[in-house]
Amino acid sequence: MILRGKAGAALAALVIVAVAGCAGDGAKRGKVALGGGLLSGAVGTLVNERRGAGPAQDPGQLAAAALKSLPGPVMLAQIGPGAGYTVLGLYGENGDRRTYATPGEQAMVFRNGILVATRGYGNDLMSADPGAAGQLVRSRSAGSAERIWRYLDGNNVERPLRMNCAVQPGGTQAAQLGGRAVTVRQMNETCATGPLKIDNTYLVTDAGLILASRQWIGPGLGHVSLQVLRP
Amino acid sequence: MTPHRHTASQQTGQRAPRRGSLCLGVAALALVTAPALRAEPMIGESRGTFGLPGLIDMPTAESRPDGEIGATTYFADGAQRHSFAFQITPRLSGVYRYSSIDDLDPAGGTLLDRSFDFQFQLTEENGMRPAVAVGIRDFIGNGAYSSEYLVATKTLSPGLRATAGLGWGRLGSEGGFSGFGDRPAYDFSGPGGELNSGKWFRGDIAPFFGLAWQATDKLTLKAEYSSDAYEQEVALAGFDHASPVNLGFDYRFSRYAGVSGYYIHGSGAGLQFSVSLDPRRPPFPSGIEKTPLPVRPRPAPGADPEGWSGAWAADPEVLPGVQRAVADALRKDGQVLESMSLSASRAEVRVRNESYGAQAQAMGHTARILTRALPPSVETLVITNVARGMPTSSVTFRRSDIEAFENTSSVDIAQRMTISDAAAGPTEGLRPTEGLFPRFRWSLTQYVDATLFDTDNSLQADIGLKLSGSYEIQPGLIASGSIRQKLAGNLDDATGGTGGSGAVYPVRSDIAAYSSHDDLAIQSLTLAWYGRPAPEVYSRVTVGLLERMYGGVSGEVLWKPVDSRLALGAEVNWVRQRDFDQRFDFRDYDTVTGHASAYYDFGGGFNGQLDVGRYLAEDWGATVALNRDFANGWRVGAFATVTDMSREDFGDGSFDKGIRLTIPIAWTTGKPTVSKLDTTLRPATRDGGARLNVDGRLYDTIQQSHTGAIYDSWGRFWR
Repeated sequence: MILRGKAGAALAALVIVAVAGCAGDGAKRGKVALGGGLLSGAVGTLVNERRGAGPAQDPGQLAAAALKSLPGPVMLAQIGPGAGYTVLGLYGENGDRRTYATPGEQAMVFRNGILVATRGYGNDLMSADPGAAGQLVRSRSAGSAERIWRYLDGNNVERPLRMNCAVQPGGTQAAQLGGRAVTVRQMNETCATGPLKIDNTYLVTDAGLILASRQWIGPGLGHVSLQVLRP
Repeated sequence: MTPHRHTASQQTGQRAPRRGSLCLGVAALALVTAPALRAEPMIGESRGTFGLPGLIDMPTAESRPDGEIGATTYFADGAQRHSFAFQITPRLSGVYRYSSIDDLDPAGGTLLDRSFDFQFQLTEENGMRPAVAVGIRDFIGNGAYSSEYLVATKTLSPGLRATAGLGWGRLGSEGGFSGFGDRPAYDFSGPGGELNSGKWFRGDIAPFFGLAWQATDKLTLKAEYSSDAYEQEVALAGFDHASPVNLGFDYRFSRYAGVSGYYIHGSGAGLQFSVSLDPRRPPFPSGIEKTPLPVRPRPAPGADPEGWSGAWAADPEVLPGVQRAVADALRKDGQVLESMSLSASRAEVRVRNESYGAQAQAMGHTARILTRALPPSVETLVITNVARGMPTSSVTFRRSDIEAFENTSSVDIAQRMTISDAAAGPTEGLRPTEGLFPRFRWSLTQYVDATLFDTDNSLQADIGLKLSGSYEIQPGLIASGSIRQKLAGNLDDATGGTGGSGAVYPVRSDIAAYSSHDDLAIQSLTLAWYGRPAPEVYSRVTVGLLERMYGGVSGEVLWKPVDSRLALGAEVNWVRQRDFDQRFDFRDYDTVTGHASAYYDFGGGFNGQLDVGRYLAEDWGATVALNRDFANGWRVGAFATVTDMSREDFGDGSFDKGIRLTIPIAWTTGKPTVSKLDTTLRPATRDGGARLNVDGRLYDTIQQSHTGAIYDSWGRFWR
């Protein structure tokens, strides 16, 4: 996407296109219409918290509309129980880090499917080192890892939170990916430090793709439930 | 910035938080991420009638969390106390108080008083040992509450705390015994304001004690035996002091607010409201502003050999095109690209941050925008911060570091950037952004002006509209002005600091005459020129109607190396007093006033300032100010000015002093803005030690983009 080829005027023009496009990479392009109903499939199994209690909004229709209006990778997310669903489109890609943004330009950053940052939510996860946990989850194997999450305190200092995590494989189930039936295995991760204990759940395909997950963002925001609509 | 280890979990001894429970989760995080402290000062949840954690009238040895701001307003028969409290350090607490006491003024009528208190926690609670604190109340006011104490507080069982202490002065008046030395009778007929240190801990001593029982999470019940006999109130105001036992409750609605009710002296009732605010606990620690643009990594050299070759640098059309794109993206981000240079390997952008309280956050956005716009051979990125047209600091990054460390720990990128003086770098090749200057901006806002207890027992305030505009002719050359129109209020009832003896010209004390002219008053109308005459040096010249009471010429020079804790400055002003109607006429008073200033950053957010020079009334002296600055923009400070003007000439209060409070708007809303609310609380507006209020003083203009402040907020670089 960036500056290829020709020097001179053509290059300058390309630069402008590249930057002008920045604000519109994927997600910002279309405000997605909201509807009513329920999504079956992976998010349905993970989002077990009072479905439909929030704003009357149908994740199924939302997902379909998002897939139609957004050309690239798309995710569906729900932060916290009872909260509304939102779609996120790919906003930037840097090495193994992918930034997804909502139409309102809040963002989540993933490293191979593991949430490593959020932006625009007030109590953001500033950065995270998943350690070996990401590899364990994607390879669907048991093991333990030390993970670090970092948050801003009220005085602009980044505060790390370290936890020891255990990853365990669970059962398998059928799911849909792009209209195709796939088998996913549930991976359970439990992390603890002192009195704080959190759980993450991932549904992982044979190929190591995290198709859906329920991941902990932090003490201020709780969990986010995520589903990949288009990888 | 070194990541600290979390403390051992057994320290918490609390029930495990439930998943999804926000409050418990936050508490748990605070516990696991708190730095390993040796011992913590004892924290008291409920405030007494003097503003600090306490029983009712009696103090306890408790503190509040470091940095917390509190306010209480207490009403009882014949008395009101309005206190502003600040936890200056973990152990040191301070209070500034307005009070009114019926019939206690020797001249007859209500005594209106301003007073300051300090309390220091000597030892924290540890095992069998209680927390112990020493305090002084009203040590430079009129002395109505003048007292000292030594107090110990011990937790008897969870929720139950006992306090016992010894009081001197007013707190030694009930059931006292003889102590050391004599304490002159309490006298407020003089101008007040002396540090009566010769009286401290002298005269009769009396014991006091009490209990506070936290019955529920929200309700605390209190009982005390008070050593304050209210002698003067009884003698002068017919106060009924039937019993030394006071009873009360404190009910907290939330972390921020509470109400207390008291049955006092066996004869009356009291009611108190209190609020607490911790500047370090904003509602949205990371802000709710939109996500910044992400980094766009460069293509592999093979995919773009020409871009990587740098041959494009010879083309004169590249820079204008890139600059337009960067300026556009920055404008959408709330920043202004003033100028830019570009070579095959290096790019410099001069950027004015008009949106983000943390300069690091603004630079983080700029760096990411640059990765999206610059041809791939550019590896060195220089972001020069500009304030009022003055380049203040240049921060140099490697583009590969920005690409490699995006959204990782902010320490990683902090270790790989350098900060230097912007005036020391090369300026050739800098191309001004097209169409930026002249730059006109305006705003219409509301204003509130208020005084409390000016001359009588009341609050006086005006509200109105303020129209401001600025026209920047070229970077650093700025014409600006503001006009105010009062909509409603009763401030013209105030007679304003009339305490001057008449021996000095009323340089400030006829403020009421200005306040009563409130139709389209020109607050200021100036032309200011900011510059960088030499490396490490900043300059300002301002001419025009400098403030509502003075017009003239103001010149200032500041020496401040970018990474220095110390700054030195000098300011000279020739000013003439403006007419009361605040249009273009002047009165018959002109003078030369100016100061030599030293500023020092002590670290930990403590900043000091010393100004020595000549004040508006042609008195010579010095001002000492100490501020506690929070990285998020909050500031709590105190200042005092002593000049060669005599106490008699100065009037009530003897010398100028007060409290300054700055609240960043972004802290409350979570939305990015550099706007702040500034308030100065001073006991009285007098003519001694009065300084000119000119806008755009250099230190505050540049300090935010120098090394200390940049590092303090570095955690926001990737925000």
